[in-house]
Amino acid sequence: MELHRKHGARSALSDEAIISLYWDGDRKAITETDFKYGKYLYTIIYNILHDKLDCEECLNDAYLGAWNAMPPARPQVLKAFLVTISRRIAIKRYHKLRQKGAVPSEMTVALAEVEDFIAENSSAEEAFDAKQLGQIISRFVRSLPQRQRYIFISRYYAAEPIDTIAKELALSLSMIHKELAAIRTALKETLESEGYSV
Amino acid sequence: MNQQQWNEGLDHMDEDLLRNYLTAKDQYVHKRRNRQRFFHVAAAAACLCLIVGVLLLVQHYRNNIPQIGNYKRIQLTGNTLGESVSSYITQDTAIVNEAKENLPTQLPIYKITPRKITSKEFQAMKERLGLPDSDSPLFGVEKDRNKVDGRFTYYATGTFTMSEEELEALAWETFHKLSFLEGDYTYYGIRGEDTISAYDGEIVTSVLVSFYRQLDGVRVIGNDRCDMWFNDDGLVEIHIALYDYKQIGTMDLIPLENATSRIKTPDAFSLEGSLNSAVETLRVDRINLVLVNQHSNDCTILQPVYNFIGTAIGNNETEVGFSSKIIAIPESYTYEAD
Repeated sequence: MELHRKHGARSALSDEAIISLYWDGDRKAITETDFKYGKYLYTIIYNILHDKLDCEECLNDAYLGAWNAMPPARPQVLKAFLVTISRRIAIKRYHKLRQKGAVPSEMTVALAEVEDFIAENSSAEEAFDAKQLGQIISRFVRSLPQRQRYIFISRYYAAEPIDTIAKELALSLSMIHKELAAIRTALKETLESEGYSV
Repeated sequence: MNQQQWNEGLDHMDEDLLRNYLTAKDQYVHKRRNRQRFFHVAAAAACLCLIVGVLLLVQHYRNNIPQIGNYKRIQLTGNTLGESVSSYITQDTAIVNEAKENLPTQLPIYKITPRKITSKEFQAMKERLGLPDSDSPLFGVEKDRNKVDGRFTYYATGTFTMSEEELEALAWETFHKLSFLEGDYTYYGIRGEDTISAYDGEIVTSVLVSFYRQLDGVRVIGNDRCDMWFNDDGLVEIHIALYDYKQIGTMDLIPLENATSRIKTPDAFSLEGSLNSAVETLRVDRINLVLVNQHSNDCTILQPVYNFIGTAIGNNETEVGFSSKIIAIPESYTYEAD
């Protein structure tokens, strides 16, 4: 996906300055956030939803979310904070859209890769603790070597296309597929040992 | 588990993993852009090659393109987090950054080569400093390739009563007698002292002063050293290790902003005193860059490190100095030591 946004020759504010704008209730905070991180956030959302209108709405919701969160929040790393908000909003919309029909996005493809042990629509009657699963995933990710860690988060958190990951790491597509297969095998074992099943 | 639950679980993944991922992504994207830029330059260079010949192009390539991923990464020692310091720095520890430094985003890549001290240079040094031949098992001066080590009196003898000005003048006088010390050196001042306990208190018998090598205004630390001990009688001990540095390219530094976010989880951390409580606030007063020479560990280039210096304030309002060091060379240039 190519995005073309012309901002003229000016440099972005520091994260600290942008956060101060949020804290001062200055609307410029959103303009500056969009200038500095809009493109990347759009990419994250686009990977999940693959629809321009949906993406723009989610991006607006994400900025509104950031506006409502700061203050009281004062994120250590603004980019990570914005990515978390954007992804949550996009994922929520993704699952709503999935109930109505197929969503032709990279997220759908990424989820299909793990259908072996993560069901598309299992009735989740048993009590589910997202935080606990988050901890298990975090421990699993930490156990991976640096490169696999990067590939895992790129593919399953950010839903990055495989060829993008391959280009970033300067590796072949087959190598990324091989690494992903190894990650999935280890992930399946981890989840099963923790009592998670389809 | 279904897909929605899986995605909710991912949303609760530890934030530091996401932060590290985003940092790594920035570096990979930057590296990719550099790679693309490189291809443009290479295409132009290929045209030039028709004129100046293949040989010159290869020479140009070898001399100027950083060897991405080829350098063994330095290892910092000291009180790292996860050991004793983890009990001081907690998630609640606040960071107050008052540093205003404007640090470079790129630095030259310097290849390290030990600079051999010749017998002639060594002999000249002994004559200029008036040092005897090493015929005593305890005292004397010796040379080993790029190093000079000598001691000329007992640790417990002598006194040190000089003023700082007198000491600096004496140190420079000695320094200028060492003709093999080339390049830009800075006088650091007193770094240590030898003392003995007497009935009426401690007596300083000698003090250690150091000179630091500088490259482009950045201090070199690690194996490169020029340490001298003095007492009132003059030079009592000397330790020198010499290295040559040749620029072979240019490296990007990890953004200061990214390093700043890691002040609490650095590569090395030290407190200048003891705090009897957890650290409530780390106030960064200044940030500087240092270049680390770990040539003896097969690290063939100087590697930059951000040094965050400031004050750690405890829950009980106790204050001590701290230093938080973060390796500034991107991981993409290096591989980890075994």
